[in-house]
Amino acid sequence: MNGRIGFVLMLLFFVLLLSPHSPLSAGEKHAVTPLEADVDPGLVPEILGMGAVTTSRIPTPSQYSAGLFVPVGKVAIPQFVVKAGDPRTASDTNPNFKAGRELYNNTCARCHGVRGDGKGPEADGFQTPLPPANFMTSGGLVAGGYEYAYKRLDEGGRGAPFFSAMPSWRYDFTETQKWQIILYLYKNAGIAPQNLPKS
Amino acid sequence: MRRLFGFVLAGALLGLFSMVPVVQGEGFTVASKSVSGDLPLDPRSSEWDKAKSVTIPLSSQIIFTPRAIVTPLGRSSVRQVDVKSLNNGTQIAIRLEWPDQTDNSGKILEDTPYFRDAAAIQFPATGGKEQPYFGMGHQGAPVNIWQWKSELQNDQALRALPLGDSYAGTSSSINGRNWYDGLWTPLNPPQDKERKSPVEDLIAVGFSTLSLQDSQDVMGKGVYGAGMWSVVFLRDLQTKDKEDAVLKKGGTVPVAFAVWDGSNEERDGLKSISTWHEFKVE
Repeated sequence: MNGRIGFVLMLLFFVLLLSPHSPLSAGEKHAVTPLEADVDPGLVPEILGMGAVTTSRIPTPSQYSAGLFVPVGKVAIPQFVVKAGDPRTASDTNPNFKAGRELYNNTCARCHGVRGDGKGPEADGFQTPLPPANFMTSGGLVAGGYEYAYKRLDEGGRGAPFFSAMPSWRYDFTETQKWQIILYLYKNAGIAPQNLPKS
Repeated sequence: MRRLFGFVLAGALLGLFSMVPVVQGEGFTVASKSVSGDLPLDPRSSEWDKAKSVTIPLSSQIIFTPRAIVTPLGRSSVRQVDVKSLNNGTQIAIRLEWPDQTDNSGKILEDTPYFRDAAAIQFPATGGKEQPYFGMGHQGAPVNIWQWKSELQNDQALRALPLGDSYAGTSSSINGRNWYDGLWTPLNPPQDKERKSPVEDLIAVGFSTLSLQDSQDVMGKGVYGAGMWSVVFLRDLQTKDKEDAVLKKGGTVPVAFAVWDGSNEERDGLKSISTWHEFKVE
């Protein structure tokens, strides 16, 4: 029996070794920083001094969107966004979604990809410390909702806790354009905010 | 015993699957190989065969304006750089290689605007209390940048352009400082600061703060051929400059890279960049 347990442990060790997520399989690559988790969006990196990186809990997207993390004030969601309803079922002919698609494809898609999978043509150089978000699996966009999406778009990710390549688009788009992008982003990725705003 | 076996199996499987959901950004480690003897300044020296090459992916600089999307290609040109490094315990050399279809290095003494090929290596500078932002650092977290400029491979250009000067037509003066070609310099740069190297030793605390260091400590040499730039940066492992990157045997520091393709009108913030990776001095 001891031999059987030993065999299973050996087998599991090799499975772990070959897993792409296993620290044992890192080889030449290494995990610079643990990043935003798809399942638990509250898990993001904290950088402690030069080169020292660890993982810690930081405010969740709901806390973030509530202004607890970045006290910018409450985000006012425009009526045309509220009236759009569930972005997943919105009509392709809705002019706000159409405008958002054009803006998204000309800017956001460079890193986040046309599909929103985080695999745009500019993504390769920006994998650390936080790769371009995969909107299709983003827990932050669902849990944090439109407010969270707006703040990420408006403020970018240069500051804590992200330290990412996400630019601030505050002065590049009008307020209407920002919300058109957000609407299209959700529809394109096939996701919706956990708490859809109601008129 | 069977129950124990079940617990072991379940626990191990749980451990395996619990790792899966977390999205991680993966960086690369450039290892500086320890060798004996003098380090090669020549990028084509066979000594470089001793070092292992690491390919670092690059992307267009799109974080700050002006973004590289305004270049003729609509993006930066160079998408990766191959990195090797050697050290002998006293000095350290780093070689960058990248594909480039045109050599944009030869017009510095002509009175016409042009854009050079260039490359840079970035480390955290001494004195920062936290890891700098990869985009040229931030206030309180400076970075030390070694920038090689291709036109300075020309000895005539090297002599003709004292430190702080650049090609004509790109300078302006703001608040008592001169703005030359994306670089802040003193209004009257000391005339005794002749260039000794095609590499400038710089410090920055964020975008548009790039400044010459008082002490220029990095040598370099670039060679172009067969559609490829090959550039060596060489510095003493230990320097007396308090603004320099600290590189120690056995130490690991963050490193980032940038490349400019002159034929795509890349200059200043219009460039290809990487984020932080690791640099280990063996």
